[in-house]
Amino acid sequence: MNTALTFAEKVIARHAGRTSVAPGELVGVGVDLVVSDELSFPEVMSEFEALGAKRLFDGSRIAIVADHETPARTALAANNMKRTRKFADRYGVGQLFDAGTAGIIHVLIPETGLIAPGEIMMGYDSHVLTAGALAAFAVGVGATDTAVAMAFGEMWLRVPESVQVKIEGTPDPWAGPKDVSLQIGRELGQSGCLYQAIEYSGSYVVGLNMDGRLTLTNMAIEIGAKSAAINCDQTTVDYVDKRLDRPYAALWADPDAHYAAVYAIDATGLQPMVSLPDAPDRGVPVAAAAGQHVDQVFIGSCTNGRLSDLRVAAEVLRGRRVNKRTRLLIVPGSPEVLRAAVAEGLIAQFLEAGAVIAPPGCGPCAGLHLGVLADGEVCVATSSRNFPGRMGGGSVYLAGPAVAASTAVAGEIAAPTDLPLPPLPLAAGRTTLDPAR
Amino acid sequence: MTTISGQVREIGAHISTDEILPGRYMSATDPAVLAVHAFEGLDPTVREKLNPGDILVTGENFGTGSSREAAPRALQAAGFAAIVAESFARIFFRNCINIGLPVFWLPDARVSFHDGEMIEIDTTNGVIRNLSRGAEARSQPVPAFIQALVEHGGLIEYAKTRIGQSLVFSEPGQLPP
Repeated sequence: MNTALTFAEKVIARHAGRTSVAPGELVGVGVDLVVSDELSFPEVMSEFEALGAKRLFDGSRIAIVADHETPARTALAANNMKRTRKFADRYGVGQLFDAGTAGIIHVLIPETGLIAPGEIMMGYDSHVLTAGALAAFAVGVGATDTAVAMAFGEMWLRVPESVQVKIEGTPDPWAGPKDVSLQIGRELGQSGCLYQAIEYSGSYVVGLNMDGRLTLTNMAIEIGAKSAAINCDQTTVDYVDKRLDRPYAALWADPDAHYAAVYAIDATGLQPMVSLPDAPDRGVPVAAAAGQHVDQVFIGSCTNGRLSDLRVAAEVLRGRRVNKRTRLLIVPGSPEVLRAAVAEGLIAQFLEAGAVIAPPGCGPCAGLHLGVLADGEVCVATSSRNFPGRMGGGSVYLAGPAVAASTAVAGEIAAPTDLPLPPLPLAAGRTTLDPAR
Repeated sequence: MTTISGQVREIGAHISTDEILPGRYMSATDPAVLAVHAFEGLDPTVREKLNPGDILVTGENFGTGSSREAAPRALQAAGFAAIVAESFARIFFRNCINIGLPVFWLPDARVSFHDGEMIEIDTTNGVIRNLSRGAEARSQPVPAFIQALVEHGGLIEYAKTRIGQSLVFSEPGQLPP
């Protein structure tokens, strides 16, 4: 009997050695890639040692990425990293990204070819699901699960229900995948896809480059999802084939598979948005928050720290200066992103505008360092999360890079179209800014 | 069959991990330290009203946000015997099971159980009795597989028994031999 399976069900069934699985079932699966960031890894090491495991199941399928508090934020962070390096050496962890190779794990891992279509990735961070944009099944889990997976190469999981989020239409030129994500959060809410596996589809998604797709799947955690995936298509193949040298076997949902819900999102003419404090599902058009004074703007994070995001920010900042009342922090998501941003002249533009450039990593996103907020301050951030107290004192609005950069110039929440044209001459033949670049 | 009995502490809804345990404490591992900061992001006075063995009753999407195990560990260290929520953020739910803290889903939990009432949870069939009001509600039964994890005291304790063998999560409800 042929059972029609969703994408998540197919990938799980393959890794459980089954022909089919159903939502709600508990199954054990083999995993292809186990990951951790450096802030989380000490806990994972302690669990691994408590387990009494003597070896990793396969060192080549484990990656540790330093991003949350790197370079070492405190003596404790430094000592933890030292312990992590020792562990990696002793047990043969295949990939340790630190110092000059460090970057945000969810920006970096897709770049490395460590995850491919049809595979399962798991690890100790809530944004692991981001990698689903590469048509993989990626789930965030805890320290214990990660330690057990490092030792055995397996995890238990509850097969999720699957839902489709179909996005059609063309947004306003200054509204990008972050704005579409904020609109989705507004429509579906923080519990909208609780515990579910999302499949993003529709003409809007098909038209996105991989940077944009990674923004969408990243934001799925903020509507409660377990995992999020985008079909393997030519964009996926073009992206992945450049970056890995091993075979992979993509999987696709069956046409008549059962979904718990199908959500139709109309992105036609969508305007740039912000999410109000203190939750990511409080999206409103920028005009509704315009005029709010802002002390700090943060452009970066696993949501919007990729090259496409920096290009948008540079397009707004070119020929302009950051407002005297506002601090602008720009954090390229990985060494590859930083190198490309330098090569394209984006970093020079950011410096010219008066921005702070931070090393690739999470930066101020979780209130750990590189831009913690004072009491009562207001920040606009391109990250995914603005819960109370997250970045220190004060409150956080979420936005995409276009609104964030505009806000930094205006000193208050603004969209690019709210700004006067820059005083410096534009390139020959151009009379307007081109947000589609 | 295991029963868990205790007094209800009803606390809010949509509580994030940042409120359960602020980020600056997320690297702490000492239960004594974690217990002191439980719910500090929400209201530092909450833990003063807690007694060991209390059962936390809360609303939707409990534990939303971070995947840090320190958050459920803080609640376990603060003395909660179990958590009954209208729904859970999945990583938090998973972490609770993996550290051996029993968790139960129940829509309308805050209607069925009020702060200060005594309740009793039957973990095999998921029935939760309100001893103060004489009513009962039905949560999802805990599958035998997850029960075993909880009974072993968590995933690590269970996994220790499997070192040297492959860790086989067999048919739902059955432990491997």
